[in-house]
Amino acid sequence: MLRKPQYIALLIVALAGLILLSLPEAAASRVKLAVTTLFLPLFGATETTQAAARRAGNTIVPRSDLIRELEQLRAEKQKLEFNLAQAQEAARENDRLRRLAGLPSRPGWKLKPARVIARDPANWWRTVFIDLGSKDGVRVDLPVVTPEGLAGRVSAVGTTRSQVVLLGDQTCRVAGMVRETAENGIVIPYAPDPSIVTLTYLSRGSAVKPGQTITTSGLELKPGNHVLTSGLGGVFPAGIRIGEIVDVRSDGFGLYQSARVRLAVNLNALDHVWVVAQ
Amino acid sequence: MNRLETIFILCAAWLAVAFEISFPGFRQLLGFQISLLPPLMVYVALSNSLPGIVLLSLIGGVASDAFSANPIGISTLALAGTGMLLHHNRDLVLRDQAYAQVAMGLLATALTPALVVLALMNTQHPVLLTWRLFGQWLGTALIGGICTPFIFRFFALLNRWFSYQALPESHFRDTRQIKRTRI
Repeated sequence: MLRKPQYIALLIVALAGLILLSLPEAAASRVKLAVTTLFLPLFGATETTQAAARRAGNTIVPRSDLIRELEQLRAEKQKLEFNLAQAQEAARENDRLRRLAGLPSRPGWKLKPARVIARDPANWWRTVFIDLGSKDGVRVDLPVVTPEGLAGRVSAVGTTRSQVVLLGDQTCRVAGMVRETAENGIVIPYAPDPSIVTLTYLSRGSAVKPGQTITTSGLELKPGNHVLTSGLGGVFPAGIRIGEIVDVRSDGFGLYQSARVRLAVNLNALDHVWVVAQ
Repeated sequence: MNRLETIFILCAAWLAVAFEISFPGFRQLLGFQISLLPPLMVYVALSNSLPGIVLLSLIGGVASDAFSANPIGISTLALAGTGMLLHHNRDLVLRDQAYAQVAMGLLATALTPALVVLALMNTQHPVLLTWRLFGQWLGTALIGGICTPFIFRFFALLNRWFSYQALPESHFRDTRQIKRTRI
């Protein structure tokens, strides 16, 4: 049997826990972001340590390596300048044609660099915290990307920090599209492997048996096909890379198909990300 | 409860949460993050008093949930439940023995996330139960068990450094003194 002080302690904790659990979602989110303020010294210390490590690393790199890297970067810069000129010309042409066709011009992306400052301690969720908040213009549902592809979306915003829910989490569903076949589906988590997601609700092809090729809309979905965001749903802009198809299977008693997609971004090694402010 | 030890426990809870949120090494190496709050709760439950358990579960649980997608307060209840269970049965545990510390660490690190997942199953976003999650749970429990004796050693060291140590009594007693007098 529990003794009286134990009952009192249990009551205090249970009461505090229940009060916190019964908070409205907005209030709970505010409390969470307020509690993270306690860890500001940690974020500052991490940044300082990383900067110091970078500075220390810079002092020991041999000059010959730096010169070689500089030459490589110069060559790459020239190549990218050509590509940029081509892309700018294509964009101008696209704008001109859109105007002629009476279509509204496509807004460009404004990218804001952010640093990942904390990760979800629970193994069953996939969220991170970044060092941008409402004072930097970040809003809920803004997409978060890396140069490799889509990472997730902003789920909660504080003044100087935001929570990002990553691809593969149950609360992050994305409208996806197979680039080669223009087939639309929804990206949902694939529980057994965090580096893979499922692109599901793809339109049904011909009857499928093991070993047969699956066809959809007259085009084959193959391993290696690229999956991008489709822009449907209004949260993620179209054309952001999600990953590559690993395999395709019939699902829902043959009503639709699902494809396993290996993510382009290594979410376990996220360090710097970009918030897409449209 | 020793006030200094309470401060140490709260600092350790802060450090444990800071480690969990900012150290990606285990996540990259093993594919999961280890949890240090349950081993800390074992120490508090076996060596400290009830206010220590209440404080650790409130501060540690809320701080852990603040960085997680868990509803805030859910880890508080799980930590408190584990702490109360251990504290209630602490007379039956040989808390100075390393194997007992490992066993209790294993139990606490397995029980705390299990309670959280159990509670989450009744929310809007239940956790997907997979073999992978089961493997991570076992791995976390194992590492938590291994970490527990080190936490006991660490706090023993802190207590030795900062707490008042009673001086050993002298064998000299006034009553037994042989008074030398002139005959």
